[in-house]
Amino acid sequence: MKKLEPVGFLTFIAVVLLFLIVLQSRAHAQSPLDKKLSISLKNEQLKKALDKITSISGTKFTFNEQIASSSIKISITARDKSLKEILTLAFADKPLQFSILDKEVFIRLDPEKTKKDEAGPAANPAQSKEKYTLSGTVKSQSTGETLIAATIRIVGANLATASNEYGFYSITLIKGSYDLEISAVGSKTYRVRIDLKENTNLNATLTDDQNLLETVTINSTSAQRNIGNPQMGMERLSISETKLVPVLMGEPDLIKTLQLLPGVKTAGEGNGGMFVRGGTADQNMILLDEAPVYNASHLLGFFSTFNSDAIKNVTLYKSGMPAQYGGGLSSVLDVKMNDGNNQKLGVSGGIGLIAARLNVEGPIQKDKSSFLISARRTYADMFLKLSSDTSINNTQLYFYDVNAKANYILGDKDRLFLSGYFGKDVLASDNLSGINWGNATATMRWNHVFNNKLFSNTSVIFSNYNYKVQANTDENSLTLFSQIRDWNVKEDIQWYANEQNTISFGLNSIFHTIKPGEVQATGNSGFISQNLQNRYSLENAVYVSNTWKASSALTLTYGLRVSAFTILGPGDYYSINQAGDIIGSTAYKRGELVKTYVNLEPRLAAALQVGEWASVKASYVRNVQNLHLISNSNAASPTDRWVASTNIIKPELSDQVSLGYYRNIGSAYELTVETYYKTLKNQIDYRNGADIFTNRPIETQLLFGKGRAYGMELLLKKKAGRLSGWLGYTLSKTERKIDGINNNQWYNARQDKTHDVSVVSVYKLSQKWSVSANWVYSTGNAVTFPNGKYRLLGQSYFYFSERNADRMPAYHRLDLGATRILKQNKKFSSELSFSLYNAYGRKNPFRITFQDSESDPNRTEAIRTTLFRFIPSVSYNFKF
Amino acid sequence: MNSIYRFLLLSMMVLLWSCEDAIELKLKDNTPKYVIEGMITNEPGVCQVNVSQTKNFGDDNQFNGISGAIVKVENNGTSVLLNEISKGIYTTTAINGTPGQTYFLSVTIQGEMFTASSTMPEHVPFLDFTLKPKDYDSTRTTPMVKFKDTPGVANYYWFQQYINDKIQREYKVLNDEFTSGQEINEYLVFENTTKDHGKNIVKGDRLTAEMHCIDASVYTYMFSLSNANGSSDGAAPANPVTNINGGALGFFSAHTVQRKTIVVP
Repeated sequence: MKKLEPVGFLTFIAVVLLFLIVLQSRAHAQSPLDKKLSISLKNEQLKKALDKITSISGTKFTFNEQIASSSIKISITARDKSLKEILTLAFADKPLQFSILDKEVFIRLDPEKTKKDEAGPAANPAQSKEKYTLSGTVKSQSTGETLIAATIRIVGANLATASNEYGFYSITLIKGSYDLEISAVGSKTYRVRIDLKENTNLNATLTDDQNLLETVTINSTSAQRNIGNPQMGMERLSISETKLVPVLMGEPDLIKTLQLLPGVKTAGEGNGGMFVRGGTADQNMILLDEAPVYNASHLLGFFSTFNSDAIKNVTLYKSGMPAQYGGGLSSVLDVKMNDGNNQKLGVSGGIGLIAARLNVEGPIQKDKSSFLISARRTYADMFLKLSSDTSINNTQLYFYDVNAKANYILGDKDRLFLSGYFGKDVLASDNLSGINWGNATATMRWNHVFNNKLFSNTSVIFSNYNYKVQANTDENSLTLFSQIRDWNVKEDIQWYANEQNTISFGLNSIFHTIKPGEVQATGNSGFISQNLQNRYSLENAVYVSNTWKASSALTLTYGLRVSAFTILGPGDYYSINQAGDIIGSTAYKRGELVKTYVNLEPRLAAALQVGEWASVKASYVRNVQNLHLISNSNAASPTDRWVASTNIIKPELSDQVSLGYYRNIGSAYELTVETYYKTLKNQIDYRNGADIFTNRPIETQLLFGKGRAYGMELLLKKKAGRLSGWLGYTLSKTERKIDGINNNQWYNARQDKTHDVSVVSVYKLSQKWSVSANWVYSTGNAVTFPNGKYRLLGQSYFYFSERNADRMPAYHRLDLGATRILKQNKKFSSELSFSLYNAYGRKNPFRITFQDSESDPNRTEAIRTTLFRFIPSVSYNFKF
Repeated sequence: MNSIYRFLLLSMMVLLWSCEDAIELKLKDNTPKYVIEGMITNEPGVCQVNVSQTKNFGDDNQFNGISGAIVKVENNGTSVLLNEISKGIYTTTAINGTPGQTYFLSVTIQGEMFTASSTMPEHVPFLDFTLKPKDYDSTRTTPMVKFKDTPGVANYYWFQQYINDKIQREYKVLNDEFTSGQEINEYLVFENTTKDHGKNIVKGDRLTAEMHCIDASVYTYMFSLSNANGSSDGAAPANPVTNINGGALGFFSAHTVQRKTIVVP
């Protein structure tokens, strides 16, 4: 395939942007206000007047109770005038305002005009400049859960804010009356009118959107991307969005849903690992209630560790990561658990093809405190027991995980959260040889509202990941144990300084202990038990960032994160020559400093709103990663080795610039186009012929180099209506250049896929039935195929020339799903889901191997292994 | 360790819905490279060097020998020229390998010269080769080798495997990084990896283990050769790390030989 030249690439982007601008200017012409009509009204009561206009023009109006019952009378006569002219004329001397809200026209009382009427010319103009702060928490009415990223909009003005990850918001406004619209995905919009004449606390409780047919069509602007926010490269999914997407074996899976978004690629067939914008799997910083999760997969990567029952919200940052996040080179995946229903006790669960789930939550003390316990276990191993083959029925193969959480509202200003996760995988054959691995995390958080402008969160986090490999025979046994353990303290403060500036700052300190390997041997193998040296390190960071609304159209975020990674003794550290041989070593005592790496990580972002519906954003971000997964494999293998930076392994660095265009089209569609260019430094790969299982320092087996990745991502989403879903397309390139590999020339990273398309659709057939389908297509992985063969030791071996210069065949697949609601009422609801993975049975190769032909040993052949074709599944879910 | 994991991965995929079939792929053409396979052992008269060239993937599997090469083995200042006994096969009986000695190979093909050296390690006794009834299975049989590592020096071992004197693709390399000075018991795997039941291991079959003490560079070659095709889960394929200078593929090894055979009861 022809290489993508950077100049050609940029030209292409320019053409796309131009096309979008043309599209935008054409779309602009169609507004309900431009509709021409003729009408004659005489002293008609406001509501009746509006109804008449609706019956003539078909344009609908949105207004609140106050308007509906208003005694204002309207008189107007017009012939073939636009609605805009008519309303301007009719409201000329009335305390009324109108503005466009989606396809409707929003009518509200105009506080400025009201004031003029009331106070007259004698009013003190300085008084109206007084500013007050409105703050509070946004919650769900049915569960009491705080709502993340709910939008708080001042109707009729270009003013909005969003609740933070604890549901808290704060906005400063000039004294006056305002109509507020508070909305969140999955909830009905909450409208309220407030008279702001002092600092006000307003806690909003939103009712659930039951997703019934009538309500789905409600247009909510808030469901659309906040185009004015400088944050780019971000995708936020609420769990309800992921549940309708068909997946392998019917297990709802966050990461697999994220893989359907542009810029996020799957690690392999059915795999739960992800590659973001050309990075590797370990370059994603995955946080579960702020605790890092080092291996986010179950069952050899086929399932992710996140039980969707326990998850509230997922945010993926592909670029422009806020300064509070650090440690991951290519993305941050911030997963927040549910807090637990503090209104009533609820039980929900489900049973699918391979796993069963149960979730119990409820108040400990109503409105004050709640708990949540959510558990999941696979039961496929039960079927293995039925097998007559002893080697199969003695096989153990299962995983389970438990999420638990409790939270206490200690008063108006304080809230305490305790959350934990524990998951484990067991994989063993009949003689108890096998492997088990698991993550455990625990988080304690304390939210404190100092005042209506200052919000603080303090966290203490523990995180542990370990694995154990056992090889047992009747004469000897071998056990390998490895562990990574973190203690982590974090303080984040958000200061809503004034209406233009929101400042966040904080610090983070993590103590890492890595046990690379402890080997216990018994019996006659001759193996001597070993204990590789533990590695200790301290990772500190401070950050500050400000979001500045420079004007109504321009918003800037600028910040800096300073990270310092300190390697601590005790331990031996080495110096190594080019060939990987040890040439010297230094022994450090306990607590001695081996080396400190200080890195400045600037974070810059700007958003320029172009017209009412579109914006252009740009950002630059630097990220630093100090824990590295030394992996030889594509899929997440539990035995992959985590190492911290040492005197030889330098911190990985990435610099990313991105430019994007965002547009809301009508009320249902949103379009996102983002381009990026990223450079990577201090990338790590294994030397050719590396021995992973060695007691020599790991550095002797490694090579270092750099990388680059660039691309364009296009996403068209439809968020409202019977049919919802998205269309994603990615054009990208990712390459590496490592000294000692591919003759020191640039080569394609394995995850380089030029084209990547995904179509996701959910269609609501009726009250009871909804159907879904997704289709994915991508260029095959970059792989190395043989260029020749030779005979050696009486066998055929293959000769390889360039690294990753070949391609797997293109990957494509269609999945179908259907969900039927069996019962739905306040007390009990249940549903049945069906899915068919790879519906047309495409033989997508999981791998291609080369060998002598079995039928004709004088020939060699390529063998394709295909994993999943036509995988049906059914699952039952309930809630009461 | 990793092999256990791979075995489990494999068995899991079999449990799932995997299927295999041969496909046609358009592979890039071969740029011919020379391949040198040279060895000298402590058995009298065994010194052989095979010189060949790589072929296209679609070609047959016949040894592509290169004639007319000048092949020399040198030790302690004595240089011996090897004779070409058939196309690409060069041998001599004029030199016998001795443990502790270093041998230098040079191969000149049409003006291009390739060199290598290898030191024959001291002999470590091969103590036993046994098969317990429970380790026998017709598709996968795992007899055990036993030897005692010499303490104080780095040792490397290479076990070649034969069924009824036919060499197997599977071999095992070991180092003494974790086992220095110990008595070592280690399984060898004799396996029928094909679907052809005719190749199963049956009563009366003779299983042979050939133990070689090799030097570090040959160990690296054999270790990387066994991983050369990459792994199923993503490690990129790479050519093995050769001890031959000049750009040829292959290896040159001076090693000891001990053989033991058992008959499947």
